[in-house]
Amino acid sequence: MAVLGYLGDISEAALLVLKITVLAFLLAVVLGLAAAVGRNSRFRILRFGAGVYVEVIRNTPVLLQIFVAYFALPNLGLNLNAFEAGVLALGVNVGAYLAEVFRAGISSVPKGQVEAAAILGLRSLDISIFVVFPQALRNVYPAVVNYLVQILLGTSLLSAIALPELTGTATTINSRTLIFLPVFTVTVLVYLLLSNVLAALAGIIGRVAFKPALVLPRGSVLSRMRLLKVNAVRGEVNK
Amino acid sequence: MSNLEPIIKLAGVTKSFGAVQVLKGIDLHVSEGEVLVVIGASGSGKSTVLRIMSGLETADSGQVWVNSVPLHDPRRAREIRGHVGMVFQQFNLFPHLTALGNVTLALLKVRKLSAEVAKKKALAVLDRVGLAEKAGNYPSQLSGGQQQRVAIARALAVEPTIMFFDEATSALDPELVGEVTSVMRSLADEGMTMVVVTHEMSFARKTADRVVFMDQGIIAEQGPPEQLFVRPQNDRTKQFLQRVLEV
Ligand SMILES: Nc1ncnc2c1ncn2[C@@H]1O[C@H](COP(=O)(O)OP(=O)(O)OP(=O)(O)O)[C@@H](O)[C@H]1O
Ligand SMILES: [Mg+2]
Repeated sequence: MAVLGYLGDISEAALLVLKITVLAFLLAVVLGLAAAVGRNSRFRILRFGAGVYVEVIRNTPVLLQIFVAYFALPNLGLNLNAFEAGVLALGVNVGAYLAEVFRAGISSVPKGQVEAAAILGLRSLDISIFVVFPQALRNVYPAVVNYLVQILLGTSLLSAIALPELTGTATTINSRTLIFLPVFTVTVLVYLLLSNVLAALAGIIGRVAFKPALVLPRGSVLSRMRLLKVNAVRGEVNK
Repeated sequence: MSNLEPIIKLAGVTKSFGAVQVLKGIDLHVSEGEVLVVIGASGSGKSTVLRIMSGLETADSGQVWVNSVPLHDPRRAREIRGHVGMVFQQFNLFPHLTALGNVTLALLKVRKLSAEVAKKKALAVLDRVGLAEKAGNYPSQLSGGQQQRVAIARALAVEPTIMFFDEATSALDPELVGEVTSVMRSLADEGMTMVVVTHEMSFARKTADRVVFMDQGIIAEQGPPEQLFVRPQNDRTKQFLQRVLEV
Protein backbone atom coordinates (compact mmCIF):
# COMPACT_ATOMS: atom_id res chain seq x y z
CA MET A 1 0.00 0.00 0.00
CA ALA A 2 1.70 3.14 -1.24
CA VAL A 3 -0.54 5.29 0.95
CA LEU A 4 1.25 3.99 4.05
CA GLY A 5 4.33 5.91 3.03
CA TYR A 6 2.39 9.14 3.44
CA LEU A 7 0.88 8.47 6.86
CA GLY A 8 3.39 10.88 8.38
CA ASP A 9 2.19 13.74 6.14
CA ILE A 10 -1.41 12.83 6.81
CA SER A 11 -1.10 12.75 10.59
CA GLU A 12 0.79 16.03 10.53
CA ALA A 13 -2.05 17.54 8.52
CA ALA A 14 -4.59 16.07 10.93
CA LEU A 15 -2.82 17.67 13.87
CA LEU A 16 -2.83 21.02 12.08
CA VAL A 17 -6.56 20.67 11.41
CA LEU A 18 -7.19 19.95 15.07
CA LYS A 19 -5.16 22.99 16.16
CA ILE A 20 -6.96 25.34 13.77
CA THR A 21 -10.34 23.93 14.76
CA VAL A 22 -9.84 24.42 18.48
CA LEU A 23 -8.40 27.93 18.15
CA ALA A 24 -11.03 29.07 15.65
CA PHE A 25 -13.76 27.63 17.86
CA LEU A 26 -12.53 29.52 20.92
CA LEU A 27 -12.42 32.72 18.87
CA ALA A 28 -15.92 32.00 17.54
CA VAL A 29 -17.34 31.47 21.04
CA VAL A 30 -15.87 34.76 22.30
CA LEU A 31 -17.07 36.70 19.23
CA GLY A 32 -20.45 34.97 19.30
CA LEU A 33 -21.04 35.81 22.96
CA ALA A 34 -19.92 39.40 22.46
CA ALA A 35 -22.16 39.84 19.42
CA ALA A 36 -25.13 38.23 21.16
CA VAL A 37 -24.75 40.55 24.14
CA GLY A 38 -24.15 43.47 21.75
CA ARG A 39 -27.36 42.79 19.86
CA ASN A 40 -29.33 42.90 23.10
CA SER A 41 -27.48 45.95 24.39
CA ARG A 42 -29.03 49.21 25.56
CA PHE A 43 -26.53 51.11 23.45
CA ARG A 44 -27.52 51.61 19.85
CA ILE A 45 -23.94 51.71 18.60
CA LEU A 46 -23.27 48.24 20.04
CA ARG A 47 -26.51 46.88 18.59
CA PHE A 48 -25.58 48.36 15.23
CA GLY A 49 -22.00 47.05 15.24
CA ALA A 50 -23.03 43.56 16.25
CA GLY A 51 -25.83 43.57 13.68
CA VAL A 52 -23.51 44.59 10.85
CA TYR A 53 -20.99 41.89 11.82
CA VAL A 54 -23.60 39.14 11.90
CA GLU A 55 -25.34 40.18 8.69
CA VAL A 56 -22.20 40.78 6.62
CA ILE A 57 -20.63 37.47 7.62
CA ARG A 58 -23.77 35.41 7.20
CA ASN A 59 -24.44 36.81 3.74
CA THR A 60 -21.01 36.34 2.16
CA PRO A 61 -19.21 33.10 1.22
CA VAL A 62 -16.75 31.76 3.75
CA LEU A 63 -14.19 31.20 0.98
CA LEU A 64 -14.28 34.92 0.22
CA GLN A 65 -13.76 35.67 3.92
CA ILE A 66 -10.71 33.40 3.91
CA PHE A 67 -9.29 35.26 0.89
CA VAL A 68 -9.94 38.61 2.55
CA ALA A 69 -8.13 37.52 5.71
CA TYR A 70 -5.13 36.23 3.76
CA PHE A 71 -4.82 38.58 0.78
CA ALA A 72 -6.61 41.81 1.71
CA LEU A 73 -5.72 42.38 5.37
CA PRO A 74 -2.03 42.98 4.50
CA ASN A 75 -3.27 46.10 2.66
CA LEU A 76 -4.42 47.32 6.07
CA GLY A 77 -1.01 46.55 7.51
CA LEU A 78 -2.10 43.25 9.06
CA ASN A 79 0.19 40.53 7.76
CA LEU A 80 -1.10 37.08 8.69
CA ASN A 81 0.39 33.78 7.69
CA ALA A 82 -1.94 31.13 6.26
CA PHE A 83 -2.46 29.52 9.68
CA GLU A 84 -3.39 32.79 11.39
CA ALA A 85 -5.59 33.89 8.51
CA GLY A 86 -7.36 30.52 8.59
CA VAL A 87 -8.04 30.69 12.32
CA LEU A 88 -9.25 34.28 12.02
CA ALA A 89 -11.53 33.67 9.02
CA LEU A 90 -13.15 30.52 10.40
CA GLY A 91 -13.50 32.00 13.90
CA VAL A 92 -15.06 35.19 12.62
CA ASN A 93 -17.34 33.25 10.30
CA VAL A 94 -18.70 30.80 12.85
CA GLY A 95 -18.84 33.54 15.51
CA ALA A 96 -21.57 35.23 13.49
CA TYR A 97 -23.64 32.06 13.48
CA LEU A 98 -22.99 31.41 17.15
CA ALA A 99 -24.17 34.95 17.91
CA GLU A 100 -27.63 33.98 16.73
CA VAL A 101 -27.48 30.69 18.61
CA PHE A 102 -26.48 32.44 21.85
CA ARG A 103 -29.15 35.08 21.35
CA ALA A 104 -31.80 32.39 21.02
CA GLY A 105 -30.34 30.77 24.12
CA ILE A 106 -30.54 33.96 26.14
CA SER A 107 -34.14 34.57 25.14
CA SER A 108 -34.98 30.95 26.01
CA VAL A 109 -34.37 31.69 29.70
CA PRO A 110 -37.75 32.47 31.30
CA LYS A 111 -38.38 36.04 32.44
CA GLY A 112 -39.23 34.79 35.92
CA GLN A 113 -35.57 33.83 36.43
CA VAL A 114 -34.45 37.41 35.97
CA GLU A 115 -37.29 38.72 38.13
CA ALA A 116 -36.48 36.35 40.97
CA ALA A 117 -32.83 37.41 40.88
CA ALA A 118 -33.68 41.11 40.62
CA ILE A 119 -35.92 41.02 43.69
CA LEU A 120 -33.11 39.36 45.62
CA GLY A 121 -31.06 42.46 44.82
CA LEU A 122 -28.59 41.12 42.24
CA ARG A 123 -27.14 43.68 39.84
CA SER A 124 -27.88 43.14 36.17
CA LEU A 125 -24.32 42.05 35.37
CA ASP A 126 -24.48 39.42 38.13
CA ILE A 127 -27.89 38.31 36.86
CA SER A 128 -26.40 37.78 33.40
CA ILE A 129 -23.31 35.96 34.63
CA PHE A 130 -24.79 33.79 37.36
CA VAL A 131 -28.41 33.27 36.30
CA VAL A 132 -28.96 33.81 32.57
CA PHE A 133 -25.74 32.72 30.82
CA PRO A 134 -25.38 29.32 32.53
CA GLN A 135 -28.91 28.39 31.54
CA ALA A 136 -28.61 29.88 28.05
CA LEU A 137 -25.35 28.03 27.37
CA ARG A 138 -26.82 24.78 28.57
CA ASN A 139 -29.83 25.21 26.30
CA VAL A 140 -27.72 25.80 23.21
CA TYR A 141 -24.79 23.53 24.01
CA PRO A 142 -25.73 20.80 21.48
CA ALA A 143 -26.03 23.42 18.74
CA VAL A 144 -22.69 24.95 19.73
CA VAL A 145 -20.97 21.57 19.60
CA ASN A 146 -22.35 21.15 16.14
CA TYR A 147 -20.57 24.30 15.02
CA LEU A 148 -17.34 22.85 16.36
CA VAL A 149 -17.70 20.05 13.81
CA GLN A 150 -18.60 22.64 11.15
CA ILE A 151 -15.27 24.36 11.76
CA LEU A 152 -13.46 21.05 11.52
CA LEU A 153 -14.95 20.43 8.09
CA GLY A 154 -14.46 24.08 7.11
CA THR A 155 -10.69 23.80 7.54
CA SER A 156 -10.62 21.95 4.20
CA LEU A 157 -11.31 25.31 2.50
CA LEU A 158 -7.96 26.56 3.77
CA SER A 159 -6.24 24.53 1.05
CA ALA A 160 -7.23 27.54 -1.10
CA ILE A 161 -4.59 29.61 0.69
CA ALA A 162 -2.04 26.79 0.45
CA LEU A 163 -2.27 25.66 4.05
CA PRO A 164 -1.16 22.01 4.29
CA GLU A 165 -4.33 20.84 6.01
CA LEU A 166 -5.87 17.43 5.49
CA THR A 167 -7.83 17.78 2.25
CA GLY A 168 -5.08 19.79 0.59
CA THR A 169 -2.47 17.27 1.68
CA ALA A 170 -4.55 14.44 0.25
CA THR A 171 -4.79 16.23 -3.08
CA THR A 172 -1.06 16.85 -3.13
CA ILE A 173 -0.34 13.19 -2.44
CA ASN A 174 -2.77 12.23 -5.18
CA SER A 175 -1.21 14.44 -7.79
CA ARG A 176 2.13 12.91 -6.98
CA THR A 177 1.10 9.25 -6.77
CA LEU A 178 -2.26 8.97 -8.60
CA ILE A 179 -3.58 6.48 -6.02
CA PHE A 180 -6.83 8.36 -5.46
CA LEU A 181 -9.03 5.78 -3.80
CA PRO A 182 -6.74 4.64 -0.96
CA VAL A 183 -5.70 8.22 -0.17
CA PHE A 184 -9.25 9.52 -0.06
CA THR A 185 -10.34 6.52 2.01
CA VAL A 186 -7.71 7.23 4.62
CA THR A 187 -8.62 10.92 4.55
CA VAL A 188 -12.29 10.18 5.14
CA LEU A 189 -11.40 7.92 8.05
CA VAL A 190 -9.21 10.58 9.61
CA TYR A 191 -11.97 13.22 9.36
CA LEU A 192 -14.41 10.78 10.97
CA LEU A 193 -11.93 10.05 13.72
CA LEU A 194 -11.33 13.75 14.39
CA SER A 195 -15.01 14.68 14.45
CA ASN A 196 -15.80 11.82 16.80
CA VAL A 197 -12.94 12.69 19.11
CA LEU A 198 -14.13 16.30 19.27
CA ALA A 199 -17.75 15.26 19.84
CA ALA A 200 -16.71 12.87 22.59
CA LEU A 201 -14.65 15.59 24.25
CA ALA A 202 -17.57 17.99 24.01
CA GLY A 203 -19.78 15.34 25.57
CA ILE A 204 -17.42 14.96 28.52
CA ILE A 205 -17.22 18.74 28.95
CA GLY A 206 -21.02 18.93 28.85
CA ARG A 207 -21.32 16.36 31.60
CA VAL A 208 -18.74 18.06 33.79
CA ALA A 209 -19.49 21.73 33.15
CA PHE A 210 -23.27 21.70 33.42
CA LYS A 211 -25.18 20.82 36.57
CA PRO A 212 -27.25 18.77 36.73
CA ALA A 213 -25.20 16.89 34.12
CA LEU A 214 -26.07 17.58 30.50
CA VAL A 215 -26.02 14.41 28.43
CA LEU A 216 -25.55 15.02 24.72
CA PRO A 217 -27.50 12.77 22.39
CA ARG A 218 -25.21 10.15 20.95
CA GLY A 219 -24.94 9.53 17.26
CA SER A 220 -23.60 10.82 14.04
CA VAL A 221 -22.99 14.36 12.94
CA LEU A 222 -26.15 13.99 10.87
CA SER A 223 -28.36 13.23 13.84
CA ARG A 224 -26.86 16.19 15.70
CA MET A 225 -27.70 18.37 12.69
CA ARG A 226 -31.31 17.36 13.06
CA LEU A 227 -31.21 18.30 16.73
CA LEU A 228 -29.80 21.67 15.76
CA LYS A 229 -32.79 22.29 13.52
CA VAL A 230 -35.22 21.32 16.26
CA ASN A 231 -33.47 23.73 18.62
CA ALA A 232 -33.56 26.51 16.04
CA VAL A 233 -37.29 26.02 15.64
CA ARG A 234 -37.76 26.06 19.42
CA GLY A 235 -35.75 29.26 19.58
CA GLU A 236 -38.16 30.84 17.09
CA VAL A 237 -41.18 29.77 19.11
CA ASN A 238 -39.70 31.28 22.26
CA LYS A 239 -39.30 34.72 20.72
CA MET B 1 -51.09 45.27 64.78
CA SER B 2 -49.22 48.44 65.44
CA ASN B 3 -50.61 51.91 64.93
CA LEU B 4 -47.35 53.12 63.39
CA GLU B 5 -47.06 54.38 59.83
CA PRO B 6 -48.16 51.61 57.46
CA ILE B 7 -45.22 49.77 55.90
CA ILE B 8 -47.07 49.59 52.55
CA LYS B 9 -49.13 52.50 51.25
CA LEU B 10 -50.83 52.56 47.85
CA ALA B 11 -52.81 55.64 46.88
CA GLY B 12 -54.75 55.98 43.62
CA VAL B 13 -52.64 53.38 41.82
CA THR B 14 -53.57 52.72 38.18
CA LYS B 15 -51.96 50.48 35.62
CA SER B 16 -52.75 49.68 31.99
CA PHE B 17 -51.33 47.10 29.63
CA GLY B 18 -51.88 48.53 26.18
CA ALA B 19 -55.46 49.69 25.96
CA VAL B 20 -56.62 47.59 28.91
CA GLN B 21 -56.75 49.28 32.30
CA VAL B 22 -55.92 46.52 34.76
CA LEU B 23 -55.85 48.62 37.95
CA LYS B 24 -58.35 51.43 38.23
CA GLY B 25 -57.34 53.23 41.39
CA ILE B 26 -56.08 51.09 44.25
CA ASP B 27 -55.85 52.49 47.79
CA LEU B 28 -54.35 50.12 50.30
CA HIS B 29 -52.46 50.28 53.59
CA VAL B 30 -50.64 47.36 55.20
CA SER B 31 -49.26 47.62 58.72
CA GLU B 32 -46.06 46.09 59.96
CA GLY B 33 -46.62 42.49 61.00
CA GLU B 34 -49.97 42.28 59.25
CA VAL B 35 -50.96 39.30 57.12
CA LEU B 36 -53.03 40.53 54.21
CA VAL B 37 -54.70 38.01 51.93
CA VAL B 38 -55.81 39.12 48.47
CA ILE B 39 -58.54 37.14 46.73
CA GLY B 40 -60.44 37.71 43.51
CA ALA B 41 -61.28 36.23 40.13
CA SER B 42 -58.66 35.51 37.49
CA GLY B 43 -57.64 38.71 35.72
CA SER B 44 -58.88 41.00 38.50
CA GLY B 45 -55.37 42.45 38.93
CA LYS B 46 -54.04 40.62 42.02
CA SER B 47 -50.66 39.73 40.54
CA THR B 48 -50.27 43.20 39.08
CA VAL B 49 -50.74 44.79 42.52
CA LEU B 50 -48.17 42.42 43.99
CA ARG B 51 -45.72 43.09 41.17
CA ILE B 52 -46.08 46.84 41.67
CA MET B 53 -45.51 46.50 45.42
CA SER B 54 -42.37 44.44 44.82
CA GLY B 55 -40.95 46.80 42.22
CA LEU B 56 -41.24 44.45 39.24
CA GLU B 57 -43.78 46.71 37.56
CA THR B 58 -44.26 50.49 37.76
CA ALA B 59 -47.63 52.12 38.34
CA ASP B 60 -48.91 54.50 35.65
CA SER B 61 -50.17 56.94 38.27
CA GLY B 62 -50.65 57.16 42.01
CA GLN B 63 -48.24 56.69 44.87
CA VAL B 64 -46.61 53.50 46.09
CA TRP B 65 -44.63 53.52 49.32
CA VAL B 66 -43.10 50.25 50.43
CA ASN B 67 -40.69 50.08 53.35
CA SER B 68 -40.23 53.88 53.04
CA VAL B 69 -39.17 53.58 49.39
CA PRO B 70 -41.24 55.62 46.89
CA LEU B 71 -41.69 53.04 44.13
CA HIS B 72 -43.53 55.59 42.00
CA ASP B 73 -40.21 57.43 41.65
CA PRO B 74 -38.26 55.55 38.97
CA ARG B 75 -34.97 56.97 40.27
CA ARG B 76 -35.47 55.43 43.69
CA ALA B 77 -37.50 52.29 42.90
CA ARG B 78 -34.46 50.02 42.87
CA GLU B 79 -33.84 50.72 46.54
CA ILE B 80 -36.51 48.16 47.36
CA ARG B 81 -34.44 45.32 45.87
CA GLY B 82 -33.15 42.95 48.48
CA HIS B 83 -35.61 44.24 51.10
CA VAL B 84 -38.74 42.38 50.05
CA GLY B 85 -39.16 38.72 49.18
CA MET B 86 -41.36 37.27 46.47
CA VAL B 87 -42.59 33.71 46.12
CA PHE B 88 -43.92 32.88 42.67
CA GLN B 89 -46.51 30.40 41.49
CA GLN B 90 -43.90 28.75 39.25
CA PHE B 91 -41.19 28.77 41.97
CA ASN B 92 -38.62 30.36 39.62
CA LEU B 93 -35.81 28.49 41.31
CA PHE B 94 -32.49 28.63 39.48
CA PRO B 95 -32.37 25.16 37.88
CA HIS B 96 -28.58 25.10 37.49
CA LEU B 97 -27.96 25.63 41.21
CA THR B 98 -28.58 23.29 44.12
CA ALA B 99 -31.04 24.21 46.87
CA LEU B 100 -28.05 25.54 48.78
CA GLY B 101 -26.77 27.42 45.72
CA ASN B 102 -30.17 29.03 45.22
CA VAL B 103 -30.17 30.31 48.78
CA THR B 104 -26.54 31.42 48.92
CA LEU B 105 -26.44 33.31 45.59
CA ALA B 106 -27.82 36.58 46.98
CA LEU B 107 -25.88 36.18 50.23
CA LEU B 108 -22.67 36.02 48.21
CA LYS B 109 -23.38 38.56 45.49
CA VAL B 110 -25.59 41.08 47.32
CA ARG B 111 -24.69 40.68 50.98
CA LYS B 112 -21.07 39.91 50.05
CA LEU B 113 -20.80 37.30 52.80
CA SER B 114 -17.88 34.89 52.71
CA ALA B 115 -18.64 31.46 51.25
CA GLU B 116 -18.42 29.89 54.69
CA VAL B 117 -20.75 32.32 56.45
CA ALA B 118 -23.20 32.27 53.53
CA LYS B 119 -23.35 28.49 53.60
CA LYS B 120 -23.96 28.37 57.33
CA LYS B 121 -26.68 30.94 57.10
CA ALA B 122 -28.31 29.25 54.08
CA LEU B 123 -28.34 25.90 55.85
CA ALA B 124 -30.03 27.51 58.84
CA VAL B 125 -32.75 28.97 56.61
CA LEU B 126 -33.18 25.68 54.74
CA ASP B 127 -33.54 23.99 58.11
CA ARG B 128 -36.29 26.44 58.98
CA VAL B 129 -38.33 25.18 56.01
CA GLY B 130 -37.41 21.59 56.88
CA LEU B 131 -35.03 21.01 53.97
CA ALA B 132 -31.52 21.13 55.41
CA GLU B 133 -30.88 17.55 54.30
CA LYS B 134 -31.87 18.39 50.71
CA ALA B 135 -29.32 21.21 50.43
CA GLY B 136 -27.34 19.38 47.76
CA ASN B 137 -30.30 18.59 45.52
CA TYR B 138 -31.01 20.42 42.30
CA PRO B 139 -34.57 21.74 41.84
CA SER B 140 -35.31 18.97 39.33
CA GLN B 141 -34.53 16.47 42.09
CA LEU B 142 -37.13 17.94 44.46
CA SER B 143 -40.91 17.63 44.65
CA GLY B 144 -43.03 20.69 43.90
CA GLY B 145 -43.67 21.32 47.58
CA GLN B 146 -39.98 21.05 48.38
CA GLN B 147 -39.09 23.38 45.51
CA GLN B 148 -41.51 26.00 46.77
CA ARG B 149 -40.09 25.71 50.29
CA VAL B 150 -36.59 26.25 48.87
CA ALA B 151 -37.96 29.32 47.08
CA ILE B 152 -39.30 30.59 50.40
CA ALA B 153 -35.92 29.92 52.04
CA ARG B 154 -34.16 31.77 49.20
CA ALA B 155 -36.37 34.79 49.79
CA LEU B 156 -36.02 34.65 53.59
CA ALA B 157 -32.23 34.39 53.52
CA VAL B 158 -31.79 38.07 52.65
CA GLU B 159 -33.95 38.98 55.68
CA PRO B 160 -36.73 40.85 53.90
CA THR B 161 -39.07 43.10 55.84
CA ILE B 162 -42.06 42.01 53.74
CA MET B 163 -42.89 38.75 51.99
CA PHE B 164 -45.13 38.58 48.92
CA PHE B 165 -46.72 35.31 47.84
CA ASP B 166 -48.36 35.06 44.41
CA GLU B 167 -50.44 31.88 44.35
CA ALA B 168 -47.56 30.01 45.94
CA THR B 169 -49.55 26.77 46.13
CA SER B 170 -51.50 26.89 42.86
CA ALA B 171 -48.98 24.80 40.90
CA LEU B 172 -48.81 22.08 43.55
CA ASP B 173 -50.54 18.73 43.75
CA PRO B 174 -53.23 18.96 46.45
CA GLU B 175 -51.36 16.69 48.86
CA LEU B 176 -48.32 19.01 48.76
CA VAL B 177 -50.18 22.24 49.53
CA GLY B 178 -50.12 21.70 53.29
CA GLU B 179 -46.34 21.61 53.69
CA VAL B 180 -46.07 25.03 52.02
CA THR B 181 -49.00 26.70 53.80
CA SER B 182 -47.68 25.48 57.14
CA VAL B 183 -44.35 27.21 56.47
CA MET B 184 -46.30 30.34 55.53
CA ARG B 185 -48.35 30.09 58.69
CA SER B 186 -45.29 29.80 60.91
CA LEU B 187 -43.85 32.89 59.20
CA ALA B 188 -47.04 34.74 59.98
CA ASP B 189 -46.86 33.59 63.60
CA GLU B 190 -43.34 34.98 63.83
CA GLY B 191 -44.67 38.41 62.91
CA MET B 192 -43.58 38.70 59.26
CA THR B 193 -45.47 41.26 57.21
CA MET B 194 -47.08 39.27 54.41
CA VAL B 195 -49.22 39.98 51.37
CA VAL B 196 -50.61 36.72 50.08
CA VAL B 197 -52.53 36.15 46.85
CA THR B 198 -54.17 32.75 47.19
CA HIS B 199 -57.09 30.55 46.30
CA GLU B 200 -56.66 28.62 49.56
CA MET B 201 -59.67 29.94 51.43
CA SER B 202 -58.89 27.88 54.52
CA PHE B 203 -55.46 29.53 54.74
CA ALA B 204 -57.11 32.94 54.35
CA ARG B 205 -59.58 32.19 57.10
CA LYS B 206 -57.10 30.86 59.59
CA THR B 207 -54.13 33.11 58.97
CA ALA B 208 -55.22 36.43 57.51
CA ASP B 209 -55.57 39.53 59.66
CA ARG B 210 -57.45 41.12 56.81
CA VAL B 211 -58.82 39.93 53.47
CA VAL B 212 -59.06 42.10 50.37
CA PHE B 213 -61.42 41.14 47.55
CA MET B 214 -60.36 42.51 44.15
CA ASP B 215 -62.76 42.77 41.27
CA GLN B 216 -61.93 44.13 37.81
CA GLY B 217 -59.09 46.35 38.93
CA ILE B 218 -60.56 47.78 42.11
CA ILE B 219 -60.75 46.71 45.73
CA ALA B 220 -64.43 45.83 45.98
CA GLU B 221 -64.46 44.87 49.63
CA GLN B 222 -62.12 44.30 52.54
CA GLY B 223 -62.26 43.31 56.17
CA PRO B 224 -61.26 40.71 58.73
CA PRO B 225 -61.76 37.16 57.46
CA GLU B 226 -64.69 36.38 59.76
CA GLN B 227 -66.54 39.38 58.32
CA LEU B 228 -65.63 38.92 54.68
CA PHE B 229 -66.26 35.19 54.58
CA VAL B 230 -69.34 35.07 56.81
CA ARG B 231 -71.13 38.35 56.07
CA PRO B 232 -69.86 39.68 52.73
CA GLN B 233 -71.53 42.99 51.86
CA ASN B 234 -70.73 43.27 48.17
CA ASP B 235 -72.75 41.18 45.66
CA ARG B 236 -69.63 40.41 43.61
CA THR B 237 -67.88 39.14 46.76
CA LYS B 238 -70.85 36.90 47.52
CA GLN B 239 -70.85 35.49 43.99
CA PHE B 240 -67.09 34.91 44.06
CA LEU B 241 -67.15 33.19 47.44
CA GLN B 242 -70.07 31.02 46.41
CA ARG B 243 -68.12 29.86 43.39
CA VAL B 244 -64.84 29.10 45.16
CA LEU B 245 -66.32 27.60 48.32
CA GLU B 246 -68.57 25.27 46.31
CA VAL B 247 -65.64 23.23 44.99
N1 LIG C 1 -47.35 42.03 31.06
C1 LIG C 1 -48.65 42.08 30.68
N2 LIG C 1 -48.98 42.44 29.42
C2 LIG C 1 -50.26 42.52 29.03
N3 LIG C 1 -51.31 42.22 29.81
C3 LIG C 1 -51.06 41.84 31.08
C4 LIG C 1 -49.71 41.73 31.57
N4 LIG C 1 -49.77 41.33 32.85
C5 LIG C 1 -51.08 41.18 33.14
N5 LIG C 1 -51.86 41.49 32.08
C6 LIG C 1 -53.33 41.46 32.06
O1 LIG C 1 -53.80 42.19 33.15
C7 LIG C 1 -54.95 41.59 33.71
C8 LIG C 1 -54.74 41.35 35.18
O2 LIG C 1 -53.69 40.44 35.33
P1 LIG C 1 -53.22 39.87 36.72
O3 LIG C 1 -52.16 38.89 36.42
O4 LIG C 1 -52.88 40.99 37.64
O5 LIG C 1 -54.53 39.14 37.25
P2 LIG C 1 -54.69 38.14 38.45
O6 LIG C 1 -55.78 38.66 39.29
O7 LIG C 1 -53.40 37.87 39.08
O8 LIG C 1 -55.21 36.83 37.71
P3 LIG C 1 -54.87 35.28 37.99
O9 LIG C 1 -55.73 34.84 39.12
O10 LIG C 1 -55.24 34.63 36.70
O11 LIG C 1 -53.42 35.19 38.28
C9 LIG C 1 -55.20 40.31 32.93
O12 LIG C 1 -56.22 40.57 32.00
C10 LIG C 1 -53.89 40.07 32.23
O13 LIG C 1 -54.11 39.45 30.98
MG1 LIG D 1 -52.08 36.24 39.17
